[in-house]
Amino acid sequence: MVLTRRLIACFDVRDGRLTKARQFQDNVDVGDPVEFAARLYEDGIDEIVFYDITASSERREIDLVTVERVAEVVFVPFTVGGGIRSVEDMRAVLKAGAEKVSIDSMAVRDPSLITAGARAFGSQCIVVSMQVRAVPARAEVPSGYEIAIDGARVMTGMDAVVWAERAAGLGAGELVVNSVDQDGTHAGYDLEITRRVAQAVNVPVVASGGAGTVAHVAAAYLEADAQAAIVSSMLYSPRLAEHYSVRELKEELMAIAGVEMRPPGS
Amino acid sequence: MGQDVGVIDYAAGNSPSVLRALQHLSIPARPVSRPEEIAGCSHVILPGVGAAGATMASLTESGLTAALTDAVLGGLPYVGICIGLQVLFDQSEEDDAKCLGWLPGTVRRLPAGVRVPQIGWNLVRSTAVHGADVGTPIDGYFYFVNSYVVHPSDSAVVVAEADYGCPFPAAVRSGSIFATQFHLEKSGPAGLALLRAVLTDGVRREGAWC
Repeated sequence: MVLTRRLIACFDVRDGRLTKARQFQDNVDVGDPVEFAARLYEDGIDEIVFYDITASSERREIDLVTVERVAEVVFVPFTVGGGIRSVEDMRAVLKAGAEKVSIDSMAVRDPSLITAGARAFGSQCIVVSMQVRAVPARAEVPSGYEIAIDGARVMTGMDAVVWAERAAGLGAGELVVNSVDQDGTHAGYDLEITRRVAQAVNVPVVASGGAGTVAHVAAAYLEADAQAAIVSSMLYSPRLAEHYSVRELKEELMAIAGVEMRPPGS
Repeated sequence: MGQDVGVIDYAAGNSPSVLRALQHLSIPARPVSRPEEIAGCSHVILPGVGAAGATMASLTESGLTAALTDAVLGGLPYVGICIGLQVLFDQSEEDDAKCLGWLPGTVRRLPAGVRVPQIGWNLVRSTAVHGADVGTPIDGYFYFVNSYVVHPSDSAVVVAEADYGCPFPAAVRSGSIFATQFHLEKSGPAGLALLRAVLTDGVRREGAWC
């Protein structure tokens, strides 16, 4: 009897619509995010994450209306990321119905935001999402994984493992390791960096970017020791001909890979 | 006797999530942020996601600590969620906070060797002796987010437990007090069903349970 591994659905939401990107580009429209969130909740998803949830791509205001609409139909944890620049932004998102906030580029620019958020709302509320890219190892990036920001367009010269340790030390309650290289490729998570981060910190670690098969998700848990795995394409990407239901995914993970999960329908 | 469930609304709480869950269940509810708003409530729910020290400071500053103590020790049914469970006891290691002290015991950090916070769905089981007293079985997967766990002096108050590094109390009950370490409002259909049960037949307004 142990804490089960979590399956998290991730939505890119722009201008109130669910979209799907590949390596942070070429977003295509998928549908109404509230409808999808409700369907996945009914289907047994363990958590839902909305990223880049902006009401206007120019003004970059957080789309609190969509956050509220999701919170009215989803009774599992709900995380919102993108567009959060301050403790006040966090408060607004939490009031609108999110349980956790995810910060990414802003945490790199101003790491004190992690601590300020943790003081105001508790560490469990503050998720630091890391965009990592494999690079040749060098003195400042000894792990061979570098942190990228601003939609993964800007490299920071920061080592991913060093940043993970620092973010956890500053008060992050959870770390998402998103591989920019694997994102949207359906070729599998980057298990190497996920495992190294999981070994380096004592907070939960979430694998993200690249899941295309049940075996990929199982490997994130069993080989990289991620406590949770983010899936999106497998559930709804228009670039994949066949999709999984949450129930199918969980049943296969439990039966074939032996992963301990909250059973569907419970 | 009032009909509304009062949901304590304080700075670091997540009262909106609990209110949304109650709305979904068609259970009349309203936020309570001042002592006089407790009057007329059928139950009070203290939700929480923050730290014990900040929670106690916020409750005391608004005058709710004294008002809740009078009301709940006088028999008003109380439902605590997460921090709402932890503050029932005497003292928390978190911020070295003095808590409500309605139940004897302490709150301590999760043991070394597990990732902290515990975040996720854990299997909860009714404890053999007391499970039947709850009015509804508490067996199944519920969502936890916690770095601390309660250590009641009287283990008889524990009605359900789970394991994370070691067994820990997942739910307690004493008189008209019922509280869970997991998030009833975020544990999917199982959490909503239990929330409904404790607000309808699971928590009685007066008298002891056994």
